[in-house]
Amino acid sequence: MAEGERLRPEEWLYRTLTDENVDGDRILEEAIEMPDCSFDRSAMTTPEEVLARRPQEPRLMEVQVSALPPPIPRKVKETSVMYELAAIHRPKPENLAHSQVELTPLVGDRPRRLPPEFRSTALSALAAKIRVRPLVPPEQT
Amino acid sequence: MPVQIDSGLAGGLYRAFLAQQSSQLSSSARAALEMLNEITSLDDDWNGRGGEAPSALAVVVARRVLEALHGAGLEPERLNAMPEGGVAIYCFGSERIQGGARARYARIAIANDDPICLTLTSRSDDTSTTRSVRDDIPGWSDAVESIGTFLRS
Repeated sequence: MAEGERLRPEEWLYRTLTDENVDGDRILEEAIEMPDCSFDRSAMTTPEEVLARRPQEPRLMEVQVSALPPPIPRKVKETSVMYELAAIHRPKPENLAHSQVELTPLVGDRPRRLPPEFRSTALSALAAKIRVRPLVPPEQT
Repeated sequence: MPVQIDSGLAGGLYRAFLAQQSSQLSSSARAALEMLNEITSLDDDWNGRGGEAPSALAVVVARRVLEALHGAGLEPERLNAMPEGGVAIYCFGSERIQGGARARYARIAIANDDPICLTLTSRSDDTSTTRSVRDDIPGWSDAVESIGTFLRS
């Protein structure tokens, strides 16, 4: 599985978060980042491993690659440039499952800095597709 | 010439100011100020993912936005530090959807280095609109009016 590989639609992406960014089974936007947001891919890790790596963040969010938002238009002068939120494998030496959802134009390169309104739009679009796993009650002993 | 703010000094003074002010406010307003007070004490990498600490200026603007919200009878429930630096203020509607999340919410993003953005999200019909907010009293008032209309509609 090579650096830069696109994840298959059936794969899941996992990431931890704190309770401050949970609303029911949904997330608030501060739980994620834009234009690149780190996740771990299900083909190379488990939810339990993801949670164990960051014990300071006790909740788990997830999204299936097929559920990522459709392309988002960004108005540039008189035209629109379409941007996709693509799931890309970006392994790190300490975490081979590391992947990113990247906001990328369908044509051309991404500018160094995207307008804040557009970043907020993309952030909200991604946040809307993510679900938070319910807390598992501790086992009764 | 840009105004230089010593964020450490401004943050400390501002925390003291908030503490003094909060004793004269309603419980919900006090809770919001306490959340803001906590956010002002964050350092860089506060989330272990390289998160940038909110600037003193973002905190001052957040305080002004909170005042405008309270003036309009809106009670922000969450104040969160933004990973890229800044303060996000959330107001929620009362209705909930399946899964327990609020059906509607407004997010005011006061970033360290960017214009203020207002996002109005309806989870019941999966729609969201974002616009920038003029960074002055009429701009904040206009944003607050939009939030009130959206959450009460």
